[in-house]
Amino acid sequence: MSAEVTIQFQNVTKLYGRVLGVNDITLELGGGAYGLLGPNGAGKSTLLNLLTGQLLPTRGTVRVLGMNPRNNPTVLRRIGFCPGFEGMYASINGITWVTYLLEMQGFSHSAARRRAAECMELVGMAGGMERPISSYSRGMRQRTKLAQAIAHEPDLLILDEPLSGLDPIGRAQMTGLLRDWIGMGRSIIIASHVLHEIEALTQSFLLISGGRVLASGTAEEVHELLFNVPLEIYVRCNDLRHFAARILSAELADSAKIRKTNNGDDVVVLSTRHASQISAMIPEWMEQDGLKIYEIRTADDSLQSLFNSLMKIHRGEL
Amino acid sequence: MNSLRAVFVYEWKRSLTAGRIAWWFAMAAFPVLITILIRTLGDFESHNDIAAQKSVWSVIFYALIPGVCVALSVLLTAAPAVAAELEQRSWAYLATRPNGIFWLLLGKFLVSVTWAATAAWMGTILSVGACGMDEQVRMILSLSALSLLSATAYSAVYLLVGTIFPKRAMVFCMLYTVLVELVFGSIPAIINRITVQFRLRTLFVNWMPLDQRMKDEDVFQYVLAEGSSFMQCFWLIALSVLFLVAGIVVAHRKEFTSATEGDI
Repeated sequence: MSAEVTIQFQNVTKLYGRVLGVNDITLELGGGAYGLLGPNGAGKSTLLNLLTGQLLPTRGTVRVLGMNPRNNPTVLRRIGFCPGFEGMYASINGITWVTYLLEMQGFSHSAARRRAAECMELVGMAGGMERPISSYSRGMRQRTKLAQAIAHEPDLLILDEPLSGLDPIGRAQMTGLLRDWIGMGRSIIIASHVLHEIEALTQSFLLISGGRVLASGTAEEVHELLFNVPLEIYVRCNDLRHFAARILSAELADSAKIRKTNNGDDVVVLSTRHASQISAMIPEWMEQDGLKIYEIRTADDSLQSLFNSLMKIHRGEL
Repeated sequence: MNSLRAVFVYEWKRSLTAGRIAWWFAMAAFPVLITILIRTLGDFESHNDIAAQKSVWSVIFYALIPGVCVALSVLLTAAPAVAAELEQRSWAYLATRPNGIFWLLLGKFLVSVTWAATAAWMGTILSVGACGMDEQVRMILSLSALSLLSATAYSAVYLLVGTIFPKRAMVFCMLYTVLVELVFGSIPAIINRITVQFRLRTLFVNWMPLDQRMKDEDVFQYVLAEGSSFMQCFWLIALSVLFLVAGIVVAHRKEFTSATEGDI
């Protein structure tokens, strides 16, 4: 499985009228687990819809498991898709929904029912599978969506924001389940706009924004990117001016401003390319200067700022 | 075939809501009510001989049962076949199954045919029973066969129209019915030969107990097809298959993602 080229995009562009979905993407992925990272509107769902054959590329060619996925039963038999939206029949119960989709996959009714029960149990829905979907919480719906995607044991699992809406325990359970899935040698592609959600599942990432694949690599390389492009970092400490002066004198930030947050806290806002060096220096400064650091965080949408920076690099503006 | 069975069973189960069942009974009861109203309020029975009365009842039943009752039933079931899945965003789950679109549309088509035909059959039995004419068995069998053919053909047509225009499926189906089936279907020219009404009307004249004087009227020469009833049935089935295949082909070629622009 892993030797096979699982996904191949050749100069793929998708336009929705005048709106750009994905823009001239060329990539080749073998078997394994991949995280598709990008902010909202980056083109992730378009890319996944191209993979499942629901969309036709405006230009270029898409191959999944060596074939054109568009209306191709051979490919569709081997992929499992968990969309980012809900869309399940609200009036029927979870096990009936999964059974129905398994029957659509070609299973007999009894085999489908048996397998659906197993999968619902696997995703932690044993207790709720006989209840109508309309009564499910967001997390229960996510689990049911995952159950229908894995039930026919596909070779390639395509998941769009699979952990969204899950509570921490649910996330941990789903992560464990998906890890086991990957451990069985099956391929998986997971789209998310939250890095740490999929960091626990895979070490291979594709960063997509503005319809383009901006970067790809391992989790370490992504972190490197996160720390080496200009980022906004908020620091809350007991002596803001002193901390700002320390940073600027060490030439670790382009700028340092003291600002009041929405919560009413005063923070230092740093614009820096050296986040990793700053984090390494902080313990020393705390010891030498008696600084007390209460909080360090990147701006709320750190991934968005990373992508903005990558886009600027891509355009040659940085 | 597991897929087809699944779609058929689940679509039927989904049809068994209080609203849908009430609509089914309303469709079955509609011709019966009209029949009772005509018998109660109308006085044509006193002015016409038996043969003429039978012809008038036949025309009324033809208009009410394979016409209005079937068309309205199919409008509710076949026209929104694609739109319903797109609106509730379930299309992606079904379209990503092997031959999912094919089985989905075929299953919905069969549900539409059976849903409309059963309502029409119930309406036929009760209405013919209520009209008080003789030759009731002939009338029931003829109207039942006409209803089944009508349900098959209109399900295929509305499925195609609903696939081409999923956002306004019912409006376009109504427009199609009025413009093509009623207006073009009544024009004595080549164009009426491709309408469902042209073939159904010919079968109606061949099968129902119409007064010979009525059949001899000149107008029938222009709005009826030549050839045997078998040929008319063949044409209706051929048209149904053609429309159904066209609907499935259109659904395969169109890009029906459930994603919204925000999901890009």
